[in-house]
This record gives sequence, structure tokens and C-alpha cells, in this order.
Amino acid sequence: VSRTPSSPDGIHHRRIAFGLVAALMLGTLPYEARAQQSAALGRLSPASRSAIDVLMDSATRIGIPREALLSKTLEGISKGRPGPQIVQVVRRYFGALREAQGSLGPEASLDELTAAAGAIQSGVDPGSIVRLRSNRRGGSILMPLVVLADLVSRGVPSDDASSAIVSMSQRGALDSDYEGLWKGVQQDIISGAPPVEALNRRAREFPGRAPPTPGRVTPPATQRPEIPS
Amino acid sequence: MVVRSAASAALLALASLLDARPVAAQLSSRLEAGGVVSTRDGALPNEAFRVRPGLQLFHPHGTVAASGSAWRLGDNWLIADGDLSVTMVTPARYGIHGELAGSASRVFYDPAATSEQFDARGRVYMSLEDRAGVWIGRGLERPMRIAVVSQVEVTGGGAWTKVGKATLSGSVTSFLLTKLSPSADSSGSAAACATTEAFAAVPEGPPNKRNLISGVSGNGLDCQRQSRFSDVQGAVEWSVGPVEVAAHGGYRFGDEGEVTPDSRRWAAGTATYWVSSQFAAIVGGGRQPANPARGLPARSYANFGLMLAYWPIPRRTVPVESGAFLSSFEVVDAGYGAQTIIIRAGGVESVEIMGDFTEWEAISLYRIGRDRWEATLPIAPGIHQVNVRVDKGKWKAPPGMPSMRDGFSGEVGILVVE
Repeated sequence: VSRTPSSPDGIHHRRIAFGLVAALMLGTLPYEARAQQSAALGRLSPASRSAIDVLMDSATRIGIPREALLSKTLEGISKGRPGPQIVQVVRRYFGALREAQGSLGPEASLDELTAAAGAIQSGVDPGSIVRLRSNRRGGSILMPLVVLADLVSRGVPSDDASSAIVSMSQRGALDSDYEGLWKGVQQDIISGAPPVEALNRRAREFPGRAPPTPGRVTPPATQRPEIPS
Repeated sequence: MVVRSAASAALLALASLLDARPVAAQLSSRLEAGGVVSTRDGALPNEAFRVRPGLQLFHPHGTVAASGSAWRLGDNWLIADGDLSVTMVTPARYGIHGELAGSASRVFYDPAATSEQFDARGRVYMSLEDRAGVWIGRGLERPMRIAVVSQVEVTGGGAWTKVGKATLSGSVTSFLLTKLSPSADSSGSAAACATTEAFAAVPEGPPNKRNLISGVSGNGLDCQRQSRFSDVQGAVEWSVGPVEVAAHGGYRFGDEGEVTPDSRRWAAGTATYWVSSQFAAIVGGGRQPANPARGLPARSYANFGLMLAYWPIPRRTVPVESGAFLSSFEVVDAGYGAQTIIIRAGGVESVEIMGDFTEWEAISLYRIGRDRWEATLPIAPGIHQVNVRVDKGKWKAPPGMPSMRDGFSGEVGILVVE
């Protein structure tokens, strides 16, 4: 089968044109997302919508991204909750975000804020988040926060869960260690163990690691070479 | 360099455009081929090779389905039946949702048993925590070419519950058959209406039992007759590993003149063994009661065959949520900032996902194989809150990942994307 060769210039121009069209289409996506958000918010009553707007403006003024509250609002709408309940939940969430910001400092990322707010809403003491932050200074506290919130949601008393997670962070635990702890506790709970006993048993199994050398970046778990036993 | 950037932008744009939108609809298909043996009381058994294709286009707000079967009898192929249906579903509120359905179908087993029918029905479903549910409904069937039935009003309800790995259901359905023929009708139906011995479904029955239509009224020229009977049916559906078993049995209540003895009781079952995600062996058999609206007599049957289903249509005893659960949830990097979400859920008709990365808009997953569901979505690195649901049930945290309370009396899963 023979093909007629196209002119290199033609191909070049077509590719540029295709790229431009694609870039334009990409540019329209944020507008589409905004339109989707606007349509969803339109399902709220004017009073609820106004209350949510006030909360989002207040969040922006103190440096909390309004996206966090918008997301919680959209979640409530999609789950079919009535407007007043959504406002109540978003107001509580705003309070949790404020406490999270107070614990983590103004430099905290949106991910850290939402993870910490989730943990606080699950019943975790903000003081534990401060200790976690200071133990893992320079490192991410996302995974310990996520595991902490999950443990409390599963019925582990907040003090026991916080104490175990903070203790692990003091002993140099990595994200993979928290993940391992979570999996172990989940397995034990499914097998019938009381949540707090499952946590205590699995936390005791963590032997501790040497703290990372200052100035060196710990590679992600997937890139670390396996240590032969 | 410009070309490479443009190409990258184009690929990214295409990936985003393909993935950013909720999946509009998904296609399911099935092709069965095998032998079938069918017998009527007092008649010789018919043996045939049967091919049954089926196609279903599922959308969160409705479904379009088409199915049929072709039989090979001797050297001839026969289009035995065909069915096209459209169903519209309302969103669920407090576990309650409504459904409107319409269908057109045709059967042609032999020149004496040929008919077309149009059906319409409405149903209301209520489910209780994915473990049990009830439904009630009403509908109208309009058969064509059936001399003794003009229309059938169908009223019914049922309940289902999940017991271990089995789903049990029971239903009661009442049929009110009416024959209404104006004197101007020249098709012969007025004559059929007027005679008490015209009933195609039970041609061999004694004369006093052929009259399914009773309660004659009219002015001597127009004719209206009505008849009523009710079916009570129980069913069980059980699925363990690659084996699915479905069985049902029933009893028909009605006056002796309205229900023939061979249609009083019936029972049938089917077993399916999935050799792979897309390939299964099927064996089944049992007894079917007469269907007066279609002019079909009671019969016994046995079938065996193979099923090829790239996008399988689930076999369901229960028309609503069966309490199916998600057995696994996996996220795989698809490149260009997109992640492919893979969920394993068997015996369900829809799986949806939503999270902060979809602006909390529900997105349907595509079915790939028997119990594998997929969707590729743009998800940025970081932590995300996510919920999934099957068959329009309750939003839940996916299995195999940490979760936390969502503030709305439920839970969200926490997805960490590196």
C-alpha cells in the first residue's frame, strides 16, 4: 500500500492547529466545572445559599480556601440533604478547618487542612495534631492524619488512637508504616477483635525506625529498595 | 518542540474531555447459544438449537433493552421472539424511586401461536439499607392478534430480602383480562368474543374449561367479557464464586373455568457457571404456566448452552437492589493526570462514584466483564474524599481504604493519590 506523503509544513501546521484547538477546549473545562457548580448550588434555597456564601467569604478572609467549604456543600447537595442541614454541616466543617489551621499553621496545604479537619470532626484532639506536626516537621502528615481519623471512626477512643499515632511518629514511622498499621487493625476488627485491642496489638508490633537524617529527603515507599531480612 | 507540546496538549485535552464528563451510558450485551427441548401436555417434544442475543443500553435515568431468539428447526431458522423495552427511572429519595416502562414484543412459535404485544407499566420501589425492599406497580398490556383478549390490566407488588449470599423474593400479581369488541370490528374478534369456546391457549382442554373469559355484557352486537386470576410467585437467587443459581415457583389462583389445571403450579431453575469473566455455561429447565394474553399454553422445557457476554447483562430475580456489595476498589495511574478506577461488583446493574474530584457529581462506571467496572477520571495528586454506590443505593466508602465520617450521617473513603 502506498501513501501520498504530506508536506512536512502541512503536518506541522495541522498539529499546531490541533494543539491550539485542544488547548482551547482545555480552557473551557474550568468554565464547564463552574457552570456545574453553579447549577448544583442553584438547588439550594436562597437563604441556605446566602448562608453558605457568608461562610465561604469568612473562610477566604482568614486564609482558608473556599474550595473546601464549596466541596462540602456540593457533597451535601449530591447526597440529597436539605439546605438547613447542609448549612449546619458546612458551619461545623468551617469550625474544624479553623481549628486545623490553628494546629498546623498558616502554611498548611489544602490537603493537610482537610485531612486535619476530618480528624478533628471524627473526635481527634487538636493538640494531637500539633504534636504530630512537630514530630514530622518537614515531612507530610497526611497519612498519619488519615489513619488517625479512620481509627477513631472505627470506634477506637480518640485518646488511644492519638497516643498510638503520635508515638509512632516519634519513633520515625513512615507512610508505609501507618498504612500497615491501618491494614492490620482493619483485619483484626473484621476478625472480631475490639478496635482498641486491635490498635494496641498492631502498634506494639512497630519496632521503630531511626529518624531520617536532617537535610535528606526520604524517598517514597515505592522507590525504597527492599531490605533483605 | 512546538509540535511535541501541541501533541501533548492535544492528548491531555482529549484525555480530559473524555474523562471529565460523567459517563453518559453503558452498553451490556449477551449472546446465548444452545439446545432447547419444549413439550406441551399431550404433544410430542420439540427440539431446537436456539440463539439468544441481548443488548442493553443503561443510563442512570433509564434503560433501553432489546432481546430476541432464533430457533433452528430442521433445516429452517425461525425468529421465535423479539422484545424492545424502554425504562425511565426517577432519582431515589429516602430510598424510594419510581419507574415507568414501555415495551413492544412479538412471539412466533408457529402460525397458531403468533402475537404482538405492547406493554406499559409504572412501579414504585422502596429499599431498606440494601438488605430488603418492596415494590408495587400497575400496568396495561395490549395484545394484538389474540382473538379472546383485548387488554390485560396487571396489578402487583412484591418484596425481597438478602439472606447470606442468597436473595429471596416473593410477589403477587393480579391479571384482569378484558375482551372488548365493537360491532363494527370486521376482524372476527367480535365473533371470538361472543363465543365461549374461543381460547387459543388451551385448545386441547375440555369445552367447559376453555372459557377463560367470563362475565359477558353488551347489547348483543358489542361484546365485553372480563376474567381475573392471580399469580403468587417465590424466587431465590444465589451466587457463590463462579456459580449462580436462580429458581422460582408459583401458584395461580382463579376459578376453575379461568385457570387450566396445567397452569396451577409451576417451577423452574437455571444454573450458570462462569468459566471466565465473559464466558459461561448454562443449564436450566422447568415448567411455565399458560400466558393467555399471548395465546401461549403451559409447557415444560429444558435448555443448556453457552453464554458469551463481553458486557454481561446481569440475570436478576429481583427487579431492584439485591444487596450486592463491592468486593474490591483499585486505582491505577492512567497517565496524563488521570487515574483508572477499577471496582469489582457482581450481579449489579450500575456502579457510580463521586468525590471532590468530580465536584460531587455522580459518574457511572463502565462494565468490563462479569463483575469488573471501570472509569478513567482526571484526579490530581493529594488526598480525596470518595463515595461509591451500586444500583442507586446508599453512598458508601469504598472497601480497602481508610474512611471517616462525612458529617451527613455517612462515611467517605479517603483516597491518597501520589
